[in-house]
Amino acid sequence: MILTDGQRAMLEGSEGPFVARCLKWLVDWGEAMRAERLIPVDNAMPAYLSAPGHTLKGASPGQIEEYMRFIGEFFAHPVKCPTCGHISRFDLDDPELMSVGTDQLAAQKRLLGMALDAGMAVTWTCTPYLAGYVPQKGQICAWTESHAVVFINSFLGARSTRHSGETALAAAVTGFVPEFGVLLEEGRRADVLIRVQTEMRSDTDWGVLGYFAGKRANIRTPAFDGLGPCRIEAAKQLCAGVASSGGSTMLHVIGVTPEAPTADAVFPGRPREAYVFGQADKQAIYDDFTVEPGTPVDVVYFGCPHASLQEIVEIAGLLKGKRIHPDVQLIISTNYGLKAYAKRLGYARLIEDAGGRFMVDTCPLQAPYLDQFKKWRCMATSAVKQAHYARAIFGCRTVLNTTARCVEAALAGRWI
Amino acid sequence: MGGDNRAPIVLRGRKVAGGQAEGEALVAETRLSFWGGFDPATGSITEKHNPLEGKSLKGKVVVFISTKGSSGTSNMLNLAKRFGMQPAAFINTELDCLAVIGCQIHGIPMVTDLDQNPFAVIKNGDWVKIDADRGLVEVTPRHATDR
Repeated sequence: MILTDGQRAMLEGSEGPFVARCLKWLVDWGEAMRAERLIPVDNAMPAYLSAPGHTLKGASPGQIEEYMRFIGEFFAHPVKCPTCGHISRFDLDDPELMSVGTDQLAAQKRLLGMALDAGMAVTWTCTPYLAGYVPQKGQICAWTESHAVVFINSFLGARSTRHSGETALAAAVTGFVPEFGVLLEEGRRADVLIRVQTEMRSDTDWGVLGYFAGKRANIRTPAFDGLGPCRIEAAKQLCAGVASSGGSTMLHVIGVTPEAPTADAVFPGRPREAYVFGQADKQAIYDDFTVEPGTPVDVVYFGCPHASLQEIVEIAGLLKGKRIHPDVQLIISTNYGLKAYAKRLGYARLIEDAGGRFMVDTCPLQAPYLDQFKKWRCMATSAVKQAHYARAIFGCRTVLNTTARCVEAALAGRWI
Repeated sequence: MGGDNRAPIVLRGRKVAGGQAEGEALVAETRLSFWGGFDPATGSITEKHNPLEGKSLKGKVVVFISTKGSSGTSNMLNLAKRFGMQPAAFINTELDCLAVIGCQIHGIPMVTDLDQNPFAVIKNGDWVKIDADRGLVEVTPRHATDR
């Protein structure tokens, strides 16, 4: 890799040993990925902005302290570009929801203070683009959350490879990323064509389509043909589906997304590995993720990825004047700001009066060893990503269906 | 073949994450999701329907296609290290940039682009030595007569 004089000086320690180490990670990473240079980064969305919560349950105090030292070092350094943040491991305002102790709360507050001093906007959300962090076409980004990387590349035309927590933080403190993959024009072409031959009736359908495509694209780029424009909540599900069953960095919706005016534009002179997504393919995924009717449901979960205000409005409308079954927990995850809106506008009241609750900053999947979540036998959700991971993380069964049908399950206490 | 024939097979490839390691091979032509498909406290794969579901990666030289899914791959390898459950090394046939950085930062040697198909050459239980800096993989079959 060819470095500029400034980058070489940084690597040799001009800004201290930690910044040098971060740059070395980016150089090593870039060399393995065959990058030729490091380029300036416009914004970053790191992870790791959290105390361990339950992810280190059972580890010794020494092991936990070592982990905290590892992450604490990042936040002792100022960021060089606008930086927001991925989710935390518990809700700072409602720590009881994930049963974290005062030691975790104190650690979280310490990290928050450090991150703020470093200049980070600690959004604690997997959908920062719903919290005002909306990268523009052509901007170079270092984002972590897998579906958000797909979203900003595909629907916004911004450019980010898939980042780990460490590389996004390293990008923020050095101001650089290695140039490979979708950061280059030729890295943004499609590999796999998905011909959609069934109607998309709900946001959940878009997630299911993404899940189908991710399984076939793996870490390559799918392009969809046969779709029209969609709302942001459907786009969010499409990206989350692709990023859970596979590992794509971006996708194209031909005739819709900004870099896909035509099929020829995304497949320039390339062979097209093509698949058809029909009604039977869609149904097979729903069936795989859905228990038989009559099965009791313990938890109904919305907000994967974190809910938009419009989703909250719709859930509140479905719950207005109703009462959730006493054996069911209904949880909505979103960012702190949208929960504040929901409170002011009265939607939170409608949801809470029905027996539902918010979980901000985080998501149930962040508490894999929490006993109360482990007891869940069946989760109903409108998000294929949550269903996919809930099976593995909680070992529970799932219902995958629309928001309205999941609310029906919440009221009945079972899948109907 | 003679029952005592346990001559190692040497594969040559490209370093992704440096270092040396050895361990028993765990082989599956699959893609692994570390965040949400792996339990760092036990080192086991938890993804439903995955051919490695329930298998522990601790101390293993894991031969698989690539990682997939979440950006949390690197953090999961970090947590596995904290629990003492990390794999010995990775051999991948496709490069997902998230496995690359996870291995580089958390000290798991990794190689790719081998001169022979590792899924054809390496079997579960074989003893595998990796010198990632030189791109060398030495495979000692567990039962030479099985081949």
